[in-house]
Amino acid sequence: MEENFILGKSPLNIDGPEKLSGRAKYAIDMVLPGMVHGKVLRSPHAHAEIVNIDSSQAEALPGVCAVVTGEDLPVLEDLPGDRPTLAQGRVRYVGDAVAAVAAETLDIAEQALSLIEVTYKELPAVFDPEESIKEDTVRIHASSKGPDGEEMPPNVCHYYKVRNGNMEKGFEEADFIVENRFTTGMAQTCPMEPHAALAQVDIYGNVVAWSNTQTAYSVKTKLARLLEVPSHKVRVVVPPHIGGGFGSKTRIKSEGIAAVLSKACLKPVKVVCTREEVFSDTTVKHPFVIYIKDGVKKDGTLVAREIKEILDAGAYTEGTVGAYVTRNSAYGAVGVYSTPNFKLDNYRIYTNKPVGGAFRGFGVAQTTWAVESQMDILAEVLKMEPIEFRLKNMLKDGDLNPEGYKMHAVGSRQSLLKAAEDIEWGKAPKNGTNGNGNGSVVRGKGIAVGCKHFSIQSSSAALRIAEDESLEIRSSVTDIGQGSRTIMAQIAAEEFNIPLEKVRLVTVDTDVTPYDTGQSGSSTTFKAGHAVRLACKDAKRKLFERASEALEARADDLETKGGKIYVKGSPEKEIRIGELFKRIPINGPGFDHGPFLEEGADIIGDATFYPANETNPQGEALPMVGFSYCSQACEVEIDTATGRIKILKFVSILDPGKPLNTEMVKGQIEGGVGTGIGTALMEEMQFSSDGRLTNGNLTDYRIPTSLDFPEGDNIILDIVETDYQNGPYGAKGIGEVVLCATAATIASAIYNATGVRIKDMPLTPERVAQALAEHASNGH
Amino acid sequence: MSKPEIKMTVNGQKRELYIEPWRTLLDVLREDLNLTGVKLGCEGGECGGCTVLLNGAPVVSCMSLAADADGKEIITIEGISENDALHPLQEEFLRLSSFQCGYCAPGLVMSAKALLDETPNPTEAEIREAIAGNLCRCTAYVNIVKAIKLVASQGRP
Repeated sequence: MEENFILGKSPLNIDGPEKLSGRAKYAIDMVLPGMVHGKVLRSPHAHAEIVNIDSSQAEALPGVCAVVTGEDLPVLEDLPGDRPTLAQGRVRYVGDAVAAVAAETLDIAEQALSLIEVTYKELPAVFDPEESIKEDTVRIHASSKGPDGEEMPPNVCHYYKVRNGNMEKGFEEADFIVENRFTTGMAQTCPMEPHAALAQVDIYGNVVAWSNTQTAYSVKTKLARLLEVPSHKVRVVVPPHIGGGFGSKTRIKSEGIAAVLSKACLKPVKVVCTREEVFSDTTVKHPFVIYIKDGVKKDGTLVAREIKEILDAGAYTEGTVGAYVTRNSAYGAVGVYSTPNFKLDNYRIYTNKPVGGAFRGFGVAQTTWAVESQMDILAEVLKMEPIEFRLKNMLKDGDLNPEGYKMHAVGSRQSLLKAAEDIEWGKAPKNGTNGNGNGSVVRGKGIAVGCKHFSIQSSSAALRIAEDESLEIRSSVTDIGQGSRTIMAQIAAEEFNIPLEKVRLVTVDTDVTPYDTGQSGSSTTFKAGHAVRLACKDAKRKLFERASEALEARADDLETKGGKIYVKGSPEKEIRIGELFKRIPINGPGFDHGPFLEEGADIIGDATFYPANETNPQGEALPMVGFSYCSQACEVEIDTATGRIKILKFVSILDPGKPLNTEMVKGQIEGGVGTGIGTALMEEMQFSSDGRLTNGNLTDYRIPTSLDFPEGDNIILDIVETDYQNGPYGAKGIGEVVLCATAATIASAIYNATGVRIKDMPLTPERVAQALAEHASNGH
Repeated sequence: MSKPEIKMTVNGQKRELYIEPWRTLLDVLREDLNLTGVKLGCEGGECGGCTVLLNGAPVVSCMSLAADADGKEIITIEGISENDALHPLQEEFLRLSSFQCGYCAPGLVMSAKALLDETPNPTEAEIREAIAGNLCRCTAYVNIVKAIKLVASQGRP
């Protein structure tokens, strides 16, 4: 195969100098003349009827431009139980938005909020999803319909199931049956740039919203419905730089409040979430309860697996995202192991808590926590080496997984073996010596495999060739830090064989850049990479048709490199792209416009990429186009007196298909290790008994700092390539898989060190110390 | 309402501002001086995104009153290099891909500069300690620490 020109190498992030110099403008930095500030009044109750809202005093306060409540807005439900922009008749969690104020200063807006009098009638609330699903529990939403209008059990908003084989037969064949219950905590994505939007509505109902969203077009659609205008009147602009997203900037967030306030006062309104609002009012990582029952034969064959997952939805559906999390979490159980008899039932259940949404991993991380912990437990029961047990049951190329999906480009085996090698699996850890004097310090090693499908989505792109031989990409891909702008530029540079500096990307603007489903589900490189590649092909076809006459060759026989077009096989027959653009002569014949490319004109190619659905043997479409894999291994030190865990070494080995930018792929692995360790060890949103978030800030809810990771070369981030035919230039989507196995890896190491298996995460010092103490008091 | 006059030097330029006594240094730098490289992340001194140097020492500007900067010298990310050149720390952050979304990068560079100004040859532990107040959600600080180490080893902060 011919070597790539720039793909697979590691050009630097094209936005680096701007970001590092502090000159990059993020949505939060936007200002407009005459801009006013929006703030939101939030519910103090977990569940209550709104009896009355009196905003007359707030409206009378000098400097207040608008006060809006749910009564002013249309009743919109994309799906039953969807969250309104402002509460309509009922509040369903502490922090639910009740009223919004726009004022000349933030101080005035805050003062106005305190003048709004809301009369509530409190209702019983429910916080535990396993309580919420009981027949006699309070109903959080009036409708009991699911997304397709089907009748649902109490407080269930989404349901997904997988069936494969015969469970009864499977468990009969098994020599051992092992059942366990695992749980995970509620976490926040914590992007460093808070959610922010600036909206301007004019007298014709035209809406412009500048925002740091990950999904420009879904915000556009929702704003049109919220403001009751045709969607062509709505323009969403996303500055090229976004301070992180990780899922919680998908779907409409602060844009809705900014837009309804701007409609009310016809001034530009800016809304910036406080850090506490980012915690409680954007979306959170769903807490899961996972019941898993496995049957294995003595020889180590996994013959049956039955899973039930309870997803804590919080107060609303979060539109289609809630349904996707319910479904996608199932895929965490089907991508690695062959399971001839498999049954899964996932229930997403309302509680009076903040709303669950997309969080890097999309539900798969929670499932992997249970599945990989269970694989360790089964290996122990079978007295098998845990890696050997995993390899024995691993899906290979050509196998059907429990969903009926035919596996290809499976990198799980390679990544697991490489992780084992890098952690020196089988070699005992050195004895711990750094105790605090109160208890012994022990060390252990752990290992686990993660998989994540990348979701099937579509994207359009346009590619413009200019007379100065530069390229302009029009794509609605937002760059939340993953580097997609650089990747898209690399693809165009590759297709035209030109330096990266000759490629630029237009700011995402729904008036200018075409449709894209948004940056979610590890989908961007796959779908938008294909779209940009195809748009380049289309533009090249048009370019070569233009050059065909001058080069006296068929367009099909032309190629381009370094700004030149040449005949394949006869590179001496060439013309520069710029020479195709002609200045109109001012004198003499030809002094007119004509059917040629004028100076300043352009050639535009475009394309829409729709992924081809792969099907199961019954011919049913499956919403997956492939799986990426990431195995992780670690060595940890546990202070058995305090329960504190120190990561001594961490290994993370990713199968990205073919990496398009190796350093950026490694950056994604590093980020996965960062958030993976944070959510495994320390991150958990906590609530009082009446549903108030008690740690909605970055002091009480800790995310990892530079002191929480091993020093020097003790973080190993590496790649094992697989031959993935369907990806653009062989690439898979990889943004989420990088953290799926982390928690199970660490729990495995804790078990290895102490003999204690912890089934609830995060693995906080309190939880670890308690588990160790219980273990000791049980006479172990 | 009286707005006291405050004199400070920001990125080498003398400034005379009339500002309310309760306003934070973060607000004044971002809103009055358009220095948006000073990042707002938490307004509680938790994330480090708004770190600037006040008379050479790193401070989180969201927890500092602008009035307390009267008579003092402030350096922000916009002021650590001249013209379009990048400071060695910025250069190595770029070269080693030490940032992703870039939102924490200005604060990290300022904390690192403060460290290297004071301790030109820090140990890795000292580097990690110096940036422990700067949260980054995109990475695990691997290339951040590497870049700071590298600049220190070159002796050119």
